[in-house]
Amino acid sequence: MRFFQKKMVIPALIVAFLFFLPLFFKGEYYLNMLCTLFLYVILSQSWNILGGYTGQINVGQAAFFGIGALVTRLLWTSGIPFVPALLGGGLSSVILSLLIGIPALRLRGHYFAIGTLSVAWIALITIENIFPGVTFLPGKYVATYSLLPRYYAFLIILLSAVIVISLAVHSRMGLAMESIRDDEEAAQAAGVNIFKYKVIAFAISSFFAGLAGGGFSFFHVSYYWSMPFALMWCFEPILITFIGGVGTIWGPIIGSLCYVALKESFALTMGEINVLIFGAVFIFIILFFPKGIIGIPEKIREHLTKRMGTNVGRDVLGKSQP
Amino acid sequence: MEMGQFITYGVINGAIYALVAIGLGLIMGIMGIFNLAHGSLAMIAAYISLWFFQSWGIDPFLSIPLSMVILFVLGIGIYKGLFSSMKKFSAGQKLRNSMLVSFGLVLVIENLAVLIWTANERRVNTTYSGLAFDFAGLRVPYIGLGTILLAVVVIFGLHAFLKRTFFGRSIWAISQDYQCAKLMGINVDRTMLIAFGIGVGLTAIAGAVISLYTVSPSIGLDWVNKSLILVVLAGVGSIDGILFAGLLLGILESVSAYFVGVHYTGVVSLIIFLLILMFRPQGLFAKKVGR
Amino acid sequence: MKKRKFWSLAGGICFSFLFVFVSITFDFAYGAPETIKVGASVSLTGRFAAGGVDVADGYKMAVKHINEDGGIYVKEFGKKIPLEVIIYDDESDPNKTVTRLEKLYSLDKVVAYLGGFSSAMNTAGLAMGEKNKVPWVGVTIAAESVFSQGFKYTFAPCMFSFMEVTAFFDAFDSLPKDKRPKKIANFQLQSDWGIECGKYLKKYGAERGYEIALVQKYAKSTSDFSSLIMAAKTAGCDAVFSVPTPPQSMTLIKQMKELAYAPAATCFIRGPDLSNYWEVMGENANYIITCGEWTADMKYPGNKKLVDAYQEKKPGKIIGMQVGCGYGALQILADAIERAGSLDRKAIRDALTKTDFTTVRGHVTFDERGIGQVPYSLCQWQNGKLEVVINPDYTTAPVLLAPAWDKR
Repeated sequence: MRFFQKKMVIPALIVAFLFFLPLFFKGEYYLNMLCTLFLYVILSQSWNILGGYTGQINVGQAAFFGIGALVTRLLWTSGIPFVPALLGGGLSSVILSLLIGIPALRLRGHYFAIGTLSVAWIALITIENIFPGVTFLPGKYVATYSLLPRYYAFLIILLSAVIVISLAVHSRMGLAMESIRDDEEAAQAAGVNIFKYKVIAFAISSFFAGLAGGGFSFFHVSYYWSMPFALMWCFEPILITFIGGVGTIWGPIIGSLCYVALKESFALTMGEINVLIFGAVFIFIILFFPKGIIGIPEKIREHLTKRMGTNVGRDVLGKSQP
Repeated sequence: MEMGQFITYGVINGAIYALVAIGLGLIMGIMGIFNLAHGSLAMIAAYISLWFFQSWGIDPFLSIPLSMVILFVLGIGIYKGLFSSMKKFSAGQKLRNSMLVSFGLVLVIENLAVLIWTANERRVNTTYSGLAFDFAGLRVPYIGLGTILLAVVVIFGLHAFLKRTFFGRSIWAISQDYQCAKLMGINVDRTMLIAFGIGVGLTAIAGAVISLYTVSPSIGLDWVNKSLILVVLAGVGSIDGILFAGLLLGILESVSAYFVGVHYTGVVSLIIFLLILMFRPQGLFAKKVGR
Repeated sequence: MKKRKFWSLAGGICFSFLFVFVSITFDFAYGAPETIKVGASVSLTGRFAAGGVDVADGYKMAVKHINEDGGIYVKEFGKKIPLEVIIYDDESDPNKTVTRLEKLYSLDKVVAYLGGFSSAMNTAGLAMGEKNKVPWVGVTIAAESVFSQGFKYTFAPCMFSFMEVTAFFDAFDSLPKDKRPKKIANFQLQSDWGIECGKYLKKYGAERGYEIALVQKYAKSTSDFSSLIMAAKTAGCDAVFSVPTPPQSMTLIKQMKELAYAPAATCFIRGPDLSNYWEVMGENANYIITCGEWTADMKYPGNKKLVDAYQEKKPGKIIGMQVGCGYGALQILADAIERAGSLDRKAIRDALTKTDFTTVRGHVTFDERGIGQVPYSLCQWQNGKLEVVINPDYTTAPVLLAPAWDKR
């Protein structure tokens, strides 16, 4: 995979812009919003590699997010510097995923989905009972709290997630994963080691979910220990990835952008009915763009060519070609 | 004697879970539509039962036929508006898109409920609320007994309906093989529409029972999680299995309270669920659905 | 195809940023000294909306009454400036609380924060106050541990765990010696303040001669309490203490009735203090002792005005406890701003530490941790009305003991 292709220019520009952004926008609010956005992108990308590319719908991402947050917070607040604590969090998520994955990945389809949801639920109840209270940053960390390191931490985690996942899906490994998604039996017949690739995808997925959790624990001054285990963290990455376009690198990015930006602007301008309107808009988007937002250009093109009456991009039966 | 009391409550709770899950089992198991809004619809049904009770004094058990009709109509509207465009999707895409659309629906329904009824918890308080039969120290609440009877009647009734009537069997046929059913002359579109309506109408029964406990706008997602576990435990496609799976889950939870304390019962039942899933992934009572 | 994807992505990014910026700048008011801005992130939607809306109503009402008088007199500018409270919805999500408070700080430039509803949101919120060095005044937070972090900018004029437990024992002490409950069952909610209450029950119980005969734990998600109730019944406990929120506060009572367990005293802090509790539970709510931070018929200064104004604005709605608590919190903040003489956040914070003011919920001062020294107060549901049974200033009825279920 060569890095200096033409299509790399725009993403590189965007990354550079994001790196230098805090020089222009010092406002806490903007940094906060961007950190939130990055968090969702990381979490959705991590879900996507297992769910979108390998086809295993994992509804238990909160468990990995939560363990990452828990371990990172414990390590960091007990004096270990942030970066090793973060990696510790990521590692603990991977260990958890191996423990769960090896039995769980024998399940298929909705059984895997419900199984992972159950695991996340078990984790939530257990943590609520063992750690029922609040985790506070020690006084000296609060006094010197600045959003800048948080912003860059999230940005770096985000970049590493996107790079690693891109590399993975564009390699032979990625090909194997997609073959598992498209037709598991056929892939197996072709000699692909299904189990091995599922485990690898699960490990990558949980590692980045754990890093996202570590970022979360770095970001918040105080929160209930059980908060990163809440089940919403299971559902949101799935929704975001599907809205954006599942099984693509840009899908989670676009989905997070729309989800976060829309929700925020509605919440600030609409008062009590903001979630109601958001839900309605959400339904509208899915109904009219069933492939997700990433399918919008295709839909528009389809619409336009239909009106112009040509058969460009269509096969003999009039069905559109991707 | 204590264990007997635990088991009694376990059976009652299991019956409630089963009543809520049965509609989801029909829609998801047999129609392949993942309706996340199922719990929220049960919540609406509960508010409707509440409304009948507060406005006209009709007991929730008695207002079931009325709320079933209302929810049936609502279900048809939802299907036509949201899910009918998904008929032609592949199984995977249908599951995904229906999940997404229904998530949006959950947000809409919950927030409408807050606007109409406020976010406060409510319940129906009948003259027999809190009263119980006393069998030599074993207390069986009237409402609990009613719930169990209702669950048995509804679930076995639905099972019979699906197996014995033409309409019921056409629903099965469609779930087995869409194209084939069409070729056999079944009006697939209309059947799916009505089947969805029935699935939603069934939440009216669960809603009536829930209204006797407590209802608030945010209970929807919790009920869906529980129902999903039940549907998978029973085996996707199995209807009467849902009753037994529900009873099993309810009893497991109650009895485990004795051993691990009430704050961990959720964990115990989920672990047992996972173990069952490991060794019998198709569920306890699965019928082959050919998906 | 790829080109289109890129353009649509670029367009999407620009559009989203533009959308958010436009909507933000619409809200951004220029010319700040025209009003004194304070801000809050409150749960107006989501699970906690019931209490959140009440707290928000309390704030808005207090602001309205203060501004009727012209506002707050700020010595630095030599005149009265109207107060403005900016309330954003946090959707019952503590993550959003943080975002909203950052916006209030960096864009709206508020001089102080007010709290939201319930510990989860408030814990996130008060930490923001400390981090941004913006004074934070909030209610509905009861865990002492939260206020023992050495924070300097946080103030909570409400009852904490140790106060509720003290008031609970006061209630028993107010009864004749032979009628007092002897064996207390603690149904302990596994939350920070539930566990704290358990700790204080044991400690104060030993000091004051009451036995905690049974401790049974339950979780926030528990919906079946039969095992706890049966254990309490078997152990012969004649009093129960717990801190359930709805729906648990309703399920517990219902199951106690089903299992024919009627302790002489039932004290549930939080859940039953909701204004519609009697409406929902009917006669079954009778005799339940609960939180008494504020009721409409307390005779503190300004209370009648608040109640009349609320009933005019929302006729037919029973006024909730949090309306009064929110109103009181804002009164304290306004008083502190006036005494600070300027809109400097540190000055306001210093003024708050010296608070000595009587609000609609009683006299308030703060200890060095920011924990409010407020009247220790409990209420009891008696025949459809929430009577104040324990309070240093005004009680409206004595504590009643409950007979067995079939004798009610």
